[in-house]
Amino acid sequence: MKNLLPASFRSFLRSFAGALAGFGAGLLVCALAGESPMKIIGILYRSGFGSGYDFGMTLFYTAPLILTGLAVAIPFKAGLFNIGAEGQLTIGALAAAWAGVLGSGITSPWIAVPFAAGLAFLAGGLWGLIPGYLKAKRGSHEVITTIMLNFIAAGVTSYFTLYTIKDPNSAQAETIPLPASFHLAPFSVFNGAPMGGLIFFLILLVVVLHQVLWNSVWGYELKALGENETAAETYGIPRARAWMSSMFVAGGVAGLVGLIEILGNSHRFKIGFSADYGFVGIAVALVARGNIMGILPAAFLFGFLQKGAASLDLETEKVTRDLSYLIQGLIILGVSAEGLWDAVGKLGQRWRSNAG
Amino acid sequence: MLAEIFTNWALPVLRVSTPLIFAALGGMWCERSGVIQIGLEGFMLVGSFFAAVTTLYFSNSYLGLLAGALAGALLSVLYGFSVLRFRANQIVAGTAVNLFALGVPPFLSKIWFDSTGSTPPIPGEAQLRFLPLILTGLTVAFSVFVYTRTKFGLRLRFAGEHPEALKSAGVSVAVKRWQGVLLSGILSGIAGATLSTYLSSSFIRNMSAGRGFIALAAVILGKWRPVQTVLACLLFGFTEQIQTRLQGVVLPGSEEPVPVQWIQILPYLITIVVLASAVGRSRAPKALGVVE
Amino acid sequence: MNALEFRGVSKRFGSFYANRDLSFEVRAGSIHGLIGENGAGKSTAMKVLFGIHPADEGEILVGGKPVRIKSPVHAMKHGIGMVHQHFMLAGPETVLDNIILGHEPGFFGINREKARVTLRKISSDYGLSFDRWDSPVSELSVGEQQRVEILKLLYQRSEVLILDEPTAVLTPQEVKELFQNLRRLKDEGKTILLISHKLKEVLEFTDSVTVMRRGEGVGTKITSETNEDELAQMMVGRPVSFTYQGERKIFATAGGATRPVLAVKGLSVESSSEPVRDVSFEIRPGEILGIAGVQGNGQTTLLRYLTHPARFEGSSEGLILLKGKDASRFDPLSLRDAGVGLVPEDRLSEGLLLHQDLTENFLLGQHRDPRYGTRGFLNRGVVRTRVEEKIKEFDIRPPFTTVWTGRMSGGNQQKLVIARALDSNPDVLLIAHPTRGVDVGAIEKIHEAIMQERNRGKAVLLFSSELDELIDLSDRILVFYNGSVRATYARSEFDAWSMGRVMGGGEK
Repeated sequence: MKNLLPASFRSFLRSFAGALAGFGAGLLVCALAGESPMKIIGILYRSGFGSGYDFGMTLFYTAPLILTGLAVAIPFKAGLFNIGAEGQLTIGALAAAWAGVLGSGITSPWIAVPFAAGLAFLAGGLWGLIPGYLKAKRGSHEVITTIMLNFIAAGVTSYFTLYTIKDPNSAQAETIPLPASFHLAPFSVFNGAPMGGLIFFLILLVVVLHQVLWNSVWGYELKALGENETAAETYGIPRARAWMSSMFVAGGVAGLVGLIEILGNSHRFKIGFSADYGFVGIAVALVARGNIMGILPAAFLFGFLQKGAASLDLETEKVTRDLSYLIQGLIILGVSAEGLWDAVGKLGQRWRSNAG
Repeated sequence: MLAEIFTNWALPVLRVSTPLIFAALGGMWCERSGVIQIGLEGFMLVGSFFAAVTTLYFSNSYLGLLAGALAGALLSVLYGFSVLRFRANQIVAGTAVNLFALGVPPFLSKIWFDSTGSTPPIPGEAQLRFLPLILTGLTVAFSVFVYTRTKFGLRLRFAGEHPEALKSAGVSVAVKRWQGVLLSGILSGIAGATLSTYLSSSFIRNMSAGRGFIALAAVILGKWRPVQTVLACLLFGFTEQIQTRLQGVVLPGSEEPVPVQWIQILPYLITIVVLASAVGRSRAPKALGVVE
Repeated sequence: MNALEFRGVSKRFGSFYANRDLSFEVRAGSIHGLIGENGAGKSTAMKVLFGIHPADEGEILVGGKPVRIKSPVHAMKHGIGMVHQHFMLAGPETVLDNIILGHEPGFFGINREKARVTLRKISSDYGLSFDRWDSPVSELSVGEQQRVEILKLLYQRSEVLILDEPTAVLTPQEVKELFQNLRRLKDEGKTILLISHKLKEVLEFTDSVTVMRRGEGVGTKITSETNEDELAQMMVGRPVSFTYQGERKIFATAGGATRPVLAVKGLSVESSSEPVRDVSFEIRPGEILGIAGVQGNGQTTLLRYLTHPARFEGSSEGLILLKGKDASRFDPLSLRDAGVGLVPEDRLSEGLLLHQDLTENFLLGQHRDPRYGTRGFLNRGVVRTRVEEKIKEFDIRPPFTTVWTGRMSGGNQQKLVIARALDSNPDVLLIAHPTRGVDVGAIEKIHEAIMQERNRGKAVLLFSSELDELIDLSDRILVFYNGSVRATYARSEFDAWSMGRVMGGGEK
């Protein structure tokens, strides 16, 4: 029976069950705090879908997670663990803000936005290339180097924010605001939520990357390398190139978070703007189980959760927005604990054999 | 002159190094047993929160320290179950623990103190003064002793270096790894406790601020050996102290304050450089992250 | 008295007997050899002995009493210890700590002085001179490390010492020393079981010897009453179970009628475990050149070199000519473009992506073939059709393009690997161990496919540890010993006994 279900479907079920378990545990925690689970569910539903504005905000929370989910999933195809999406997106976002300073004379949004996007992609990509290079050429473990580079990115961006392109008219730690030509307009249906045509661009990006990874020679080489390094080498797949290119693309994609936050919302770079998008991206990629298209629903789930947690903060006595961290942690543990599912499977078998 | 160096530098460096030393030694034991430990940050965070809460409740910081250790240990049990019992990927599970820990203090502080992630200040008389320093010295001495001279140290090291050899000598690898994970939880819990009850007088949001990762960096820089790891912690403590001293200082001939960001990133930069150099590669325990 | 006895031990994996009705006795205080080719079942027998795999039938007696050993630790308690081929030693730790691990004197702390005294006594009692107790193991030579392993067993009070291919990694001097030491241990009353495939050392150093073939014990001989020829005959045996009955086309190869497709000239490759030393040979179209030899005599390194010469830049000398062109610095993709097909040695680790389906596996190495895609993109429709054709042609089961290769049987996996190697219509085929771990039905199919390629005028370089297989298929056979070609046999000269001798270091 077990083997008849396609592997992808079983892993989807597993993700779904893991997410559900994490979510259930979160509800339980709320109940322990003295909030009725039904009330929580009601608030969460309204927070996600209650109005055009709410839905737009949910998409706004979802968008960065799509990108960071991709940034984790792409190198993972080649067998690399990118814990550095956080740093890559920070660098990319700063580059997007910097684009406004460099291109302050650009009046056409048709030039300004691609210019900022290109710069953000390039900056994030180069930042991602560092651990890729160190792994390929020096054998340094990418998990450690990406963790370290996250902190270095935080330091470097705050230096530039405070000393190089600081807004002289602001008391806050933020950069010079972007000219209007760099602003992305939100949709009116979202009633003020900072989300516009960008969401279609992101969906398109996921579809395109899915196609590229599935149908291109490059994607094939990443997959073969991630699956079996020895076989890939035996059959002539260039390891260094695959690792470096996948990390460059990942970093670049993470860098595009700058479009959402900088061009779409605050129109400037603020220190610490990211709500750990890079780390939640790990959860997104994990729940999507390496399936690029699966990143869309997974990112939506986590975006919904983050938005919902913010609403719970406002509408309940006891629950804060940080609940989302708890639930995210539990979901990751639930989805990643391979042995747990074997144990569940065995229990199920025993139950079936007892019943039959 | 000497007295000045002591009060301005030696003592403060030792002070800021205490949490790093505890957490790094915990991380070292865990990784030595063959389990990757990127969850130190999370253990520290819950440790510092529960230490502050307990100190407040009982007006007793010794109990607070104990509670910090316990909280770290409990979270490490969650981690241990995930990676040792249920074979979750150690990096993924470590990230999960960190995210989880990020949510715990604000969630509880809202309920207990109606605040968004910090505790009320601990009264001055309940704050720790010298105990953490003494405890650090004892822990370092004990760690060095255990590492080199005891059965426990030897067997734990083999669990990370050559688990098959340990197994064929009739010792359970899983037990050693559990002990390594638990030690990392307890010690980083204490590390967290020193943050909220010794280096400051309350818990504030995201108090560990990357120190768990600096501790991990110290383990790597210290080549997974106790003395070198402690020395790396002191080096990182020293950079933190420089940072504090230079904060807002305007050097002569300059108009802007000194950019401390460059000093801030030093520990991370050093770690990367060491990792990328030939020296840094071959020293990790051989079976680190290799599941039985 | 017998220190150890196997009585009718059988071990099955599915329908495959890894050990079948195996019986032999090891006299206490003797050196006993257990010899056989790779895959003869020696290591399975040891795994049964150490409780890693429980026996399906039969029993094992230790010191005359039947015992059920459940684990290696349990075996240790019965006084049985083993020196593995891969040492159980941690490089950064000291010799002393490696030896005493798990049996450290002291309560919480380790009393290293006491351990040192014990070890000094052991080493002088057994005449094993050694004094580098405090050096890290990684600073020791391989021979010294092996001595540490033996000391470890003595420290654990093992009475029966099993050594698995102990000389595979040693220099001739070290081999001599090892056997001197083993003799001393024997004189002190220890029992030694030597697992080997080297006839010479078994003849020289053991008191008695048991020969295994195809999972069964062929017989036990008193060493002084047997000789190399007899043992070689027992080892390689005769009756061939599968013989190729089909066509063997005659090609005019004499007098340079055809040019060699592949020529290797004076090739030497550095390697710590098995170097290749000054090897030269040629293969012509329509020829299968068999490479025989006991594992570890250079064949693996030769194959690794031939599949990826570029990787050995700086550690190899000599020339390979592919259809007259220098290919000594090619990488796998340029080799493929030049007309080389590959069936790697270990299909699981080198040949397959086990969590991917047939189509993805078929593409491995072919992903840049212009038939299957252009401008960096794959044409999946074409690939799928092609794989469906191959499934029919090679009778691959289950016959679906979407099955994970990890879920297929060894035989079907190998058919896929071969189908892939042949797909680019190569002129030279490098084929290693084509039927290792493959079920009976598939063996025939695979042999037919190889012969068919030969008859179509392809050149095949066939590596195999099955002498039967080489004799059956090859037109010529080179026997490797110690990194170089020790003897060459034309098909008319094929003789398993003689080859077995040469493989063991003897004369043709």
